[in-house]
Amino acid sequence: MADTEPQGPCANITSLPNELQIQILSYLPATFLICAGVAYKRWEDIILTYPSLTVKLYDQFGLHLFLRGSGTARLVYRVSATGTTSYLLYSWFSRGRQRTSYTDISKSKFLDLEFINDSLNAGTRTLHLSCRVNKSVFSPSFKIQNSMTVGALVNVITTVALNGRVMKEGASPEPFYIRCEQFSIPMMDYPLGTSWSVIGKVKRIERLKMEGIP
Amino acid sequence: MSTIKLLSSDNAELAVDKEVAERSILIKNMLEDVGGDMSDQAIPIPNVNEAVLRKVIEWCEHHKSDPPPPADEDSDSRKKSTDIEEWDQKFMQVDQEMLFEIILAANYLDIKPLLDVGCKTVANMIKGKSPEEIRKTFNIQNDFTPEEEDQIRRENEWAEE
Repeated sequence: MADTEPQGPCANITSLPNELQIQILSYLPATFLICAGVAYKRWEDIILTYPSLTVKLYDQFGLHLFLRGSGTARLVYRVSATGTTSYLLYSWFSRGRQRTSYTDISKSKFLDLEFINDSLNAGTRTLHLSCRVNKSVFSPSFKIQNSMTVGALVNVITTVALNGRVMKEGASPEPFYIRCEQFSIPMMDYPLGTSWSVIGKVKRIERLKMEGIP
Repeated sequence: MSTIKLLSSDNAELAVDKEVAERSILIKNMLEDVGGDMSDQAIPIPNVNEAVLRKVIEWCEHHKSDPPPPADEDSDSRKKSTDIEEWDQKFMQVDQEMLFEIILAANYLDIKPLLDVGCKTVANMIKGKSPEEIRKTFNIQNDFTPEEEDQIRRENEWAEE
């Protein structure tokens, strides 16, 4: 007779070993991966650390966000301006009280940016952002030739910045995505301490649950 | 056709056609290691109880003539599609505990096609749901850290001012 190992009940998906949870998540399209990551932090960690899952997100969106509840956000986006693709994982609290970088693969100076304030004009749907360089020179003209990357950065800031406002207005804490257009950042060096403003036109706000990100 | 015996974790002895049992790569390798003759001795399956083992055998019997799965484990087509054939869909209409036990058993017994079906079934249960619905479906506790909870609480206070 065999020595039987005790087999505890596995009533919950969270009891499965990581390798099996990864396999389950690997079957999800990117939009639903984000919902899964928002639902359960361990899945978020798996998605953000398991290469085939994170690449799936980058390939579809270029960047993505995990907005948790009304206050926190983790974001990942792709930086490809230098010709090689690298990834940046960043976490912060949207109100700006605490902000922590997790993994700075790209060594991007984006980490130095601080979002200061924003205002959204409901009539014209224009968004006004102010940013400040905290730790070093930010040089979009030399470091970021790809305007899409700049746009992605601004979109990330915009999304996180708007999160607090949308929540305050009573929306449910589901992940959403804000598409903006007509952003521009003057191409020049921004030394330490520099602040500048960006004006963008909000194209639309989409809830991932409803239609995903096209 | 030769028959072998499997011994579940709760000491139930189940007779199974060798061809069916060999859908499990673990059992197939064990039989090869002993020269294929296990007719008088039950093979212990210590991680799988009788109920789950019967379900696994039922699946293996239905799929005993299937071609072997592709060697490439990370085949794109396998990863992307969550299509499940009708018989397997019905087979997987079990409670969640049994579903996860089948997945664990398929993983332990190294039955990749069954593992795929199980994982696809769970993935399909996640699809189309909001985060809150996902938590409810799988009885997942909201795992905000105390720091995050505190942040949310303070933000709510601010919003109510």
